[in-house]
Amino acid sequence: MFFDTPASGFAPLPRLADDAGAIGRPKVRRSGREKVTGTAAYTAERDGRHSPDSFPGLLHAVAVPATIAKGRVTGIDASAAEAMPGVRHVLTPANSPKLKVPEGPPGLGFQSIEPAGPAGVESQEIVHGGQYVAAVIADTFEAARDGALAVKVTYEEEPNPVIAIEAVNGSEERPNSLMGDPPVMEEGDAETAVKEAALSVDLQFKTDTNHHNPIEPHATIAAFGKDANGSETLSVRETTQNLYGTRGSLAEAFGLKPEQVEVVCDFVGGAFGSKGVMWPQALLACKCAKLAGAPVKLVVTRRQMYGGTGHRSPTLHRVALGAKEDGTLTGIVHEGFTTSSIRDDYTDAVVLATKILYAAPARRLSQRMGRLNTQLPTFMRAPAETPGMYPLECAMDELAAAAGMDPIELRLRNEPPKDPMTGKPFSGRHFVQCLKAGADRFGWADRPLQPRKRKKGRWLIGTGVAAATYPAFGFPTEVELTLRANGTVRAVCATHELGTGTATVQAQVAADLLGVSAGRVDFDLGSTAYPKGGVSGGSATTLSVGSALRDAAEKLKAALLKHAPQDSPLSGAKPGDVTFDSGKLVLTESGKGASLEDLLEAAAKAELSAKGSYAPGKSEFSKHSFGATFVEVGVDEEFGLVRVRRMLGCYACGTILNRKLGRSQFLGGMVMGIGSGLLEVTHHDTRLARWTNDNLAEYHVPVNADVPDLDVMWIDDPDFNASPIGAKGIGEIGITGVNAALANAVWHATGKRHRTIPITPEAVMA
Amino acid sequence: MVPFTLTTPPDAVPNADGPTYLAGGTTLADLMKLNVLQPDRVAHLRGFQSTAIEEIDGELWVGAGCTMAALADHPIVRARLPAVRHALILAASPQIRNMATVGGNLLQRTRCPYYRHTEFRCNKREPGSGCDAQEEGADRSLMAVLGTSERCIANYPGDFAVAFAALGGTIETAHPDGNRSISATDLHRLPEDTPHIETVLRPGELISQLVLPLSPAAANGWYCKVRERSSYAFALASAAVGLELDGDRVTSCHIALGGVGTKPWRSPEAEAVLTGQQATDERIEAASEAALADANPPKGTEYKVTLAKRTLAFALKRLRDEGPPDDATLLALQHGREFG
Ligand SMILES: Cc1cc2nc3c(=O)[nH]c(=O)nc-3n(C[C@H](O)[C@H](O)[C@H](O)COP(=O)(O)OP(=O)(O)OC[C@H]3O[C@@H](n4cnc5c(N)ncnc54)[C@H](O)[C@@H]3O)c2cc1C
Repeated sequence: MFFDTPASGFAPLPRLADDAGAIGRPKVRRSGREKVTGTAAYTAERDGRHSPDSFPGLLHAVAVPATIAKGRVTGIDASAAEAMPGVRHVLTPANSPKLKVPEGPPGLGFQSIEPAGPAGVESQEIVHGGQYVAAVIADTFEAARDGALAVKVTYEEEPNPVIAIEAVNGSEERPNSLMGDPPVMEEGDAETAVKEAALSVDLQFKTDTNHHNPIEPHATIAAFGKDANGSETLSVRETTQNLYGTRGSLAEAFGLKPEQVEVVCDFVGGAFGSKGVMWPQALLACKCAKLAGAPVKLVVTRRQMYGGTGHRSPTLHRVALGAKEDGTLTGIVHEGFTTSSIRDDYTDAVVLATKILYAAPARRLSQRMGRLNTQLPTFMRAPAETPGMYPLECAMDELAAAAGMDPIELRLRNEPPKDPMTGKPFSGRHFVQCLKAGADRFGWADRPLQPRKRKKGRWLIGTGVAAATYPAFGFPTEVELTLRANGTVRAVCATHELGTGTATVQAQVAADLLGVSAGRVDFDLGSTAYPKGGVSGGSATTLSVGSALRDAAEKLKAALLKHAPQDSPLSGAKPGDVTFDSGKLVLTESGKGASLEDLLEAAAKAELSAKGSYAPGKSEFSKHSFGATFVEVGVDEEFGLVRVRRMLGCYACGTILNRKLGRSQFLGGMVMGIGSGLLEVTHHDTRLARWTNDNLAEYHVPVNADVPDLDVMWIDDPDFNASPIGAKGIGEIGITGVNAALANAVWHATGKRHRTIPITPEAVMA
Repeated sequence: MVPFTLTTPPDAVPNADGPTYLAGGTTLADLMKLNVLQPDRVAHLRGFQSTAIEEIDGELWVGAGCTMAALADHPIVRARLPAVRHALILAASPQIRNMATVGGNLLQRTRCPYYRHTEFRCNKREPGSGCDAQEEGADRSLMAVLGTSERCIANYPGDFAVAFAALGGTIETAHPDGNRSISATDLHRLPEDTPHIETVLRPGELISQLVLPLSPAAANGWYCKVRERSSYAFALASAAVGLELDGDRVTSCHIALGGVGTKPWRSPEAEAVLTGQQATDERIEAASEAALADANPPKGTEYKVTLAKRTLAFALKRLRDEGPPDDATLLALQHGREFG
């Protein structure tokens, strides 16, 4: 069912006083024990040795990546590899099973998932380093790995591959769409407004390439088989945030009906967006399985994660702000420049947050893009906001300094009463509250306006603030909710467990919807055997699944009422008249009714199910979460070091369904922001167009020692204008303000602006 | 990895055309998996090598098989060799330090990306093939500024070897043609025209002991490591220093730099500026200048010269003023919190 949000929002969920119900409680993640004891089976472990899966005769494959970034393959000599002990086959264009390149989701482009080009592996054109050109299939992983190193590939290189964003900055190409918005959005004459403004800043920024580096590498186990009718089937274990998307793509590629393809993924060991679309290893594993006539497991090596799968595009920005003397904005210009790959089109929509954060009579937002010889960039935690809000929120800080104002005060002056570009009311905003409550707790009040005022030992101390925001997305999602005669409940959905605690939280939602305790609710996910879940990206899973559960709970009422005995007070009642309450279905008015067990018994049913669905429809509201991020840094100018001393995030994301898991999501985002702000950059060789620090020793993600005590708080105000369960996403907003808050804090410590992240020792020393 | 035969000592070692030695494997196995090193015979030293730590006649004798963790935690090292302890506890991760041996540590390889990718040209990995690190547009974030040659600019990444060289350590080796002692400063060679020959060790020569003098200057020392990530990162620049002071006059001094040299970079030039002199700020700064006087930074690494000078000057001044930092102070310096 598509839920068009009514102008008055959805009816609030009857929410029981704070801890009386399940929602909100800091319940421990259900798979926590398996994870800390090492028994949770991740995709690469689902090979039958560590899990109940069964793949008799399983073989192992290792991909052979291209060592050039542009040109073509002229020859593959597999003879040495084939002669090695344990090697069964070498998959090359010559023997590769044919397939159709799946189209993939519209707008994302999907050519990059096919290892060697639109025409299949037969086309041996190389458009990026690390593109798979062959694979070795062997009895053991070790034999496959060693075989892969022994495959000799010869290339004809083409000159001038490009990997540096600066090299394509002249490109006039515009992205087809910015998540549905056009690449140029204009209201009034912002350039003139900035030019004529009493106060203005006009600044250039850069963010660098990042790789997701989830601890679990991408992996696929593929097995072709036959069903009872003799039709071909494909069973896949896959690291994915998108079970149904993967199933659809695989079905298309191999000419199967979706029902003939099963995709299973119980746990994802971190993804951060990198597992939202299918990457080449999935098709490669399936091809290997076809060629070998046996199940095949293929795990992407850590090094292959840089090129085998996507990354966050580097970005360039110009942000110009004009304001009156009192700080009121008169014009906002945000021009973004991002990259995509040679064959595909995905690129980050980095100007989107600038649409909604501040009021201004004139605004111009635009994006151009260039194409690099890299794997396709892809979503990475807050793909639009992380790189896009850094320049905007730094520019606001520079404007505040130019105006001699406190940066919080400047933001309060420019608070829009409604969505500045669409004119729609916000579903819920609370940005001002986040700034104020955050500032209070952080101790912002006595902060000197001038930089370079505080020092402790060798460390210059500074504080910075920035806005956080993220849209309240939802994706089409279906669930099935089953009441059992023994009083327990089971809900199922082909959604994903990325470490976020989906099963735990949705059990809490179902529990409150049905008026039972959460411990009585099983929630199963991770398989295409269940009703369709959306991609677990865009911080949309919790909202989407929970909203579908609410729909299912309503449908269950109808089903139960149909079976209500004649002599029951429920007989003849309408779904709108009844409520689930403490294990019973009761008339809302009188409280009279019957227990769920009695109703099932009376109906002589062992269980009763209802399907529910959710898809965001049209909305009268502009739906976003907001927050404020506060950071204190110490800067050692002599050595160029920046260390985070404290950080606080205050967020307004609607209902927080589980305080413990919610807090973890915010914390994770904040930690990742320390990474992109201070540490994370994928280095490259410009001439060779290759990544160079393709390992976890030199690609620096934050370690514990980089992360001080983080403080998280939120404005707990359910937003029923945003979704039927009052929740909005929380997975991404935590990172969105960190980069700018850090850069602003470094300025406050040192007096020096950093308009490129990460902020390196070299830059601090300069 | 290319297939190889694995033997277990003692029969296999030492042997003139002997196998490649496997100690903790944290360098060797890593580079074999990347095909950078392709030995056809490997001899596992576990159980064969000495792991003992003993004080003998004013020296600390350490079996080459001793792990980084065990050496760092030894009471004599804690009390009398602070620079060694610091260099060890600020290196790698606890997991690696529990596996890695101090003998293997000295021989760890550069992290230069051109060395670590077989598809790139590297004179160290493949003599005469060229050096992609010196081409236009190269990633030089891990390159050296001291001791570079036209053939190679890769840095020596390790920490412990820097302290070991500073403090005048020596190694004892075993070889059928005769055992010998080699001073730490002589162990590694400059790249010059033969960057693939990294040490003076002969094929099959086994490091059996590491010997550290227990001098007053060694007891009054520390290891200052600068890196943008607070932990688990190689040094951008580091300094191992030890001072013996008579009032504020330097009677003996030990200085070596890490992260910036093609080998662990002991600096007799800097030591000469200070030895016998007052340890004034000016002298210390002059010593730092002297240490970097011959720096020849490849394009993009210029800041490392400044960083190395500052690191050394800071290390010396702080040592003069406050003596060796305890662990908590050392970590606070790394983490930038609770300090000062
Ligand atoms: C991710 C990562 C981060 C790291 N960070 C740091 C860091 O910050 N600072 C730092 O100093 N180090 C760091 N290291 C390097 C680490 O300390 C070394 O890999 C380790 O000390 C090597 O010891 P090993 O016993 O494992 O040696 P092995 O890998 O077993 O051997 C290394 C080399 O020494 C030779 N060898 C070993 N023992 C002997 C012997 N007795 N005689 C002759 N030859 C021998 C081997 O043949 C081989 O060539 C890091 C390593 C990794 C993987």
